Amino acid sequence: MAEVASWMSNRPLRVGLLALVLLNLVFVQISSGVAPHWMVPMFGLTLFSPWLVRMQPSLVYRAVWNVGVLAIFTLLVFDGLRTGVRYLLEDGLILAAFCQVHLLNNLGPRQKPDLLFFNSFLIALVTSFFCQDIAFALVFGLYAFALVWSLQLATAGRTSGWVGDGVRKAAAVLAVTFLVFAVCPRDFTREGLVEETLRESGMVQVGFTEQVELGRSAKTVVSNRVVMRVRMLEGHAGAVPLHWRGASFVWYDGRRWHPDDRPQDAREGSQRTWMQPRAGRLVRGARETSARVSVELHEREHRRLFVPLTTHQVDLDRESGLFFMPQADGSLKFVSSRDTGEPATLRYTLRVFEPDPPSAETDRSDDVRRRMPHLLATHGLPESGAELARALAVRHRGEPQHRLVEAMASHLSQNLSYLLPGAQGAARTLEDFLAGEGGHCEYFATALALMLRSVGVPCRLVTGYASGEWDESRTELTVRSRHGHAWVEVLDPSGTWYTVDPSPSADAAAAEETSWWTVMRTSLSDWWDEVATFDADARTATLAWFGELPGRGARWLGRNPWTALGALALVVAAVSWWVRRRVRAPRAVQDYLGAVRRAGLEPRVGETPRELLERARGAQVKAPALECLVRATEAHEQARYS
Amino acid sequence: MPLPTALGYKALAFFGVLIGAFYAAPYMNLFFLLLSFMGVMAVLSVWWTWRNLAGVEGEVLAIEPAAAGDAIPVSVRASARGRRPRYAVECEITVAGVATPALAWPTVGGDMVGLGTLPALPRGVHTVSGARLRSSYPFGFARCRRAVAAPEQVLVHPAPADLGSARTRNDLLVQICGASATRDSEVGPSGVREFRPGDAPRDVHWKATARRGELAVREWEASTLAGIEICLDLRAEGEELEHALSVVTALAHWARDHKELLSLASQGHRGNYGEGHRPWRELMGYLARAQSLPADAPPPPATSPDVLRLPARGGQHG
Repeated sequence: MAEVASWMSNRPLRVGLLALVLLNLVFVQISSGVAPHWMVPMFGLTLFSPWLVRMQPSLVYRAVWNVGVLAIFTLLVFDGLRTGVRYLLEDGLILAAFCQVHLLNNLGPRQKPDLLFFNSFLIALVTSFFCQDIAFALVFGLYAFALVWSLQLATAGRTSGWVGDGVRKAAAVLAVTFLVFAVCPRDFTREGLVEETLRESGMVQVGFTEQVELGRSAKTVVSNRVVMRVRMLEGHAGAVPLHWRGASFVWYDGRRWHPDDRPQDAREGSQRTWMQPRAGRLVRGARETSARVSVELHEREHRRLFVPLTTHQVDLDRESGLFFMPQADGSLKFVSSRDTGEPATLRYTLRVFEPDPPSAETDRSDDVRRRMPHLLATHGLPESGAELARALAVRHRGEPQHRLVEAMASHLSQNLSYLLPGAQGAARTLEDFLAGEGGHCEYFATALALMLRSVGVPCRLVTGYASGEWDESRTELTVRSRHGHAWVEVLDPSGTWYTVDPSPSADAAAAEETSWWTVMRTSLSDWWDEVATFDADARTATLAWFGELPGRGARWLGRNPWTALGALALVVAAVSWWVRRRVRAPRAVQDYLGAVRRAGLEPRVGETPRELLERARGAQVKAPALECLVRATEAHEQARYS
Repeated sequence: MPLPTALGYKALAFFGVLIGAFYAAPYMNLFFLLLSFMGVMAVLSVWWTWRNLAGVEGEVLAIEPAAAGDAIPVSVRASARGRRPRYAVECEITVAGVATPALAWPTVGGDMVGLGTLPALPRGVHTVSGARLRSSYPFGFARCRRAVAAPEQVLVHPAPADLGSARTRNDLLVQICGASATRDSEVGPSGVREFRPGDAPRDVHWKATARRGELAVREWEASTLAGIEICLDLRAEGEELEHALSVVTALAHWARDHKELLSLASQGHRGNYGEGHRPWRELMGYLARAQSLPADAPPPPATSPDVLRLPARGGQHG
């Protein structure tokens, strides 16, 4: 009986399994969830597995591998007992990746690679929590083909046409998957049964926060969920600020910033005070509008409107049933007056003005220290930060205050590196950050705010969103959860506030590149972002698009009859070519005839392949062509007579 | 209808766990996407498995008689309609209640005949319960089966005993009984029977033919040690009987190879085998079915004292 060969003797399957494990390790690598000192050995053990597997019969070899798995498992259990579920996913990823490498190097000749397949899918699934950008999409595309091929080879062995068949099947699976993804109804806002546990695990999502606390080291999840959409009504995109503030923080206790939650005192009557001339409208100061935009806000959890610092008028949608609650720092909260609930999306329009240039004055800190001492508090600033601030202040002595502010911000952005919380090498204290370890925007903003305060510059830390994701026509700005940001607002000696962002910005540099690679990468990223941020509205729009397709097609046909005829002719030609191709001789016969042609011979009537082969040997056909003819003859016999 | 394989059941359990995790965790697009991928793969695999076997027909052409302990040759035909090749098709035959894959084709296209084997079986006539073509291509999650026609029985005759280097009948007898043949054999006619294809024209009995109106031939029977005469006593048990049957099988093979005749007499059976006589397959069938008789059963038919008696019980042949 002819059995499907064991996987050890099936070379394409061995290559397929090797590719699967390599792709799994690439998944783990792009998630940035595992340190390099774990990944490098695993990559090495995977690439060298074709040689290592020869030692498999050795008991010592197998024992070493098993001890390795047990050791890693024990380490991870201790880690879990020590830190709880904080690093559960990351540690699980390490164990799963090592188990894959272990399986690849220890699978016996008569064992089936079932567990390897399941584990590989599990790794792909877990890494999707950590990495949702285009890199995941590209790796997953390769992974889908590798998985389909490997399953095919494990089931059927190496059959003729397995490559093409595998490609077709993988493409079909991916196509139907995306179709199901687009049309299947589901609850996009489901919170899940274990959200509390996940929250306790400390896994944080990049986004707006009303709690700024340095030192969190939990893994960060980056979400592309759309928070706001901003559309131009008047003016141009350049007039719309990058930063949309939500809340400000004035007191730092050495670890955490405390927000300025005081409600606005309407009696103050300054240019910064919001006035409500009628229901649903807020204005402050009489300024000339440089741009008017409409905003759709999908994030209502924090009950805050996100507006730029230079907003002078806000109009809420009258149907919203909401009331403004201006805060002392100029931010806007809202409450609902309805008993029936709030709308899913908040709509409001803004008018922004062109910011005033910073004044040329150098200092008004004495006045501020008397009236707003909290804006100059430096508690929690390490000595290294204070020294740096003093040095910069000395260098820019006598210059306008804003020059010192810019210099300090530039120094931080150019000399310190940006890392998300939980990433390898990320700072856990402000002191570590100033010593050179990477940190995220909260570290940059905290360092700048405290350093400025130490040299008498009043300022506060602000959180909100900072997005430059304009569409091609630059009429719509998309703000996503991952655009959550922290920066500093400085009180100018003239009494106005202005924004300073010390975090390094990759967007500006990337926007200047127009190479084909950047354009392609951006397009792919944009497409994948559509998938990663797919929500109920997008699904409705997709279904509507499908529903309108016949009508749209009919209208297009009516407008372009000649083009339609040409397309139809192409389709007919393609179909007839495909039909003609299908009635061709079997593959083995085609290969045989091709080998005969390459040998420069013509089959004679009634001549068997063996007789032709003998004739070829007698005709002194060249060795490569003769060898090819021998192989083709054997393959033909095998296919024909089994 | 495709049914899940062992891998398919594992995949279902794995998918169930992932579904539970999906609902336990907050909704995530990529989680849903990967679950959809796995679900679509499972559904399509069932469809592709069914489609792989659709339009494939087959038949077990023959299951050759085989010796006990030897693999049993099987020839199977499969044909696939249309140009689309079918992959990884197996033929599974159920013998004595045990389903065993006999043959596997990596690719099936058009009409194909393949040779496979069944595992060794003990001596006897085994019932073939059924035969099926099956496939779990492409992913091995589901398996589709299709019943095909097959012979009803598998004949497993005794394994021939080792006759060593015996080249003549005398050597054989010496090897088996330790005695020598004392007289030359002479073959004489024992009767007339109907003509069978393969009978020599010189054996035609023309008078009997004229009487009967159809061709008749003389049947020859060895009267003395001509060819090989065996008297088989089935009043033996276990190893003794099996050894005796193995010896008869070996003698039958020897006789067939040396174009000798073999005459066998036993309880309820008497026959001559060889060219012009009964076919060897019939003898193998008898030997496969032979059962032990109790000690008080009737003895085998009376034969000449010169006939080889089995089981051999010490110097029987004189």
